[in-house]
Amino acid sequence: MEFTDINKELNNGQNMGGIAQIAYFCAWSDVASWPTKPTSPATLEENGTLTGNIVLKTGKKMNSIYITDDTGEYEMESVGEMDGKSFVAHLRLFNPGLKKTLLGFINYAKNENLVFIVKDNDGQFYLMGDDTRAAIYNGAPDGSGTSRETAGRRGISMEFTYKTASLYTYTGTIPLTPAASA
Amino acid sequence: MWRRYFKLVKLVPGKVIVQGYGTLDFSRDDIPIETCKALYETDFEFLEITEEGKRALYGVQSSEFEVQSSEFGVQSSEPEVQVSEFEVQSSLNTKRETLNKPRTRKKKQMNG
Repeated sequence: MEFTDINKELNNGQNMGGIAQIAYFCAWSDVASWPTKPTSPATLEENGTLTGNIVLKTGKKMNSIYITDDTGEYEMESVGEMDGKSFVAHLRLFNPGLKKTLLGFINYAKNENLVFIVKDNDGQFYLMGDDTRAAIYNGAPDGSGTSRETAGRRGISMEFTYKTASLYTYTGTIPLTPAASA
Repeated sequence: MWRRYFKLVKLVPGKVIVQGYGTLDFSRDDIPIETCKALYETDFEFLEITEEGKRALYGVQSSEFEVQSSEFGVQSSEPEVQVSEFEVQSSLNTKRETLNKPRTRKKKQMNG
C-alpha cells in the first residue's frame, strides 16, 4: 500500500458533528449481496472504502427511520486486546411518538439481525452489516416510554451495534424501492 | 425521456439514493439524461442502455457498440473470431500431421 500525507481535509472548512435525521434499515436476511471490502488496496483511501452496492432480495427494500434531532450518534469504538484489535460501531437514536409502528419495529428488532446505513452531517455514509455480521439491538440508552413530566417526550431510544474488523465508508446506493428479479 | 435511452433493471421503478446525485426517482420521467449517462458510465448496475441510447448518445450501431464499449465492461465479439481462426489453423495442422504420419511409419517398416 502506498502511504500518503493525512491532512486536515475539511470541505470548505466544514466539520459539523452528528448524523442526519434519517437512517435506513432492512433485515439482514433480506440482503442478496454486499459491497466488497478492500483486499489489496493501493492507497489509504481505498483501504477505508467499500466498493459496490448493497443489493436486496426480490421484493425487499431499505426503509427509513426518523431520528429526533441531536439524539442520533454513530460511534466507532476500538475494542480488543493486543494483536486482536477490532471495532464496534454504535448507532444511537431516539424516535418519538410511541406509535404502533415503532413498537412493532422494536418487537422485531430486539432479537433479530438488522442492517443500517447511516449518513453523517458531512454527507458520508456508513454501512452497519456485512455478509458475516449484522447490526443488533443493544438496548435503550436514553430510556423508553412516556417520560415522567409533561415537558418530557414520549418515544423510544435505541442502540444498535455492529462488530467489524475494519472501518469503512459506504459509497454505494440505497434502494428505497423494492428489488426486482433480474 | 430518459427511458428511451436507458432501462432500469433489478429494481421496481422508484426512489434510489445515489451518492453525489441525491435521491433519484426512477418512476418519474424527468431524470436528466446526462445524469443517467453519467451513472451508466460509472458502472451504475441498475441502468442498461437501449439500442436508441447507443445510437443517440454514442453515435454507434449496436454491433459497433459491442466492440467499442469493452472499456465499460461489455464483452467484445473479437475474441470469439480469433479463437475460431485459431481452431481452423489447428485443425489444418492436425490434418497435415495425420497425412504425414503413415508415410513415416511405412518407411520405418521397410527399413526394419
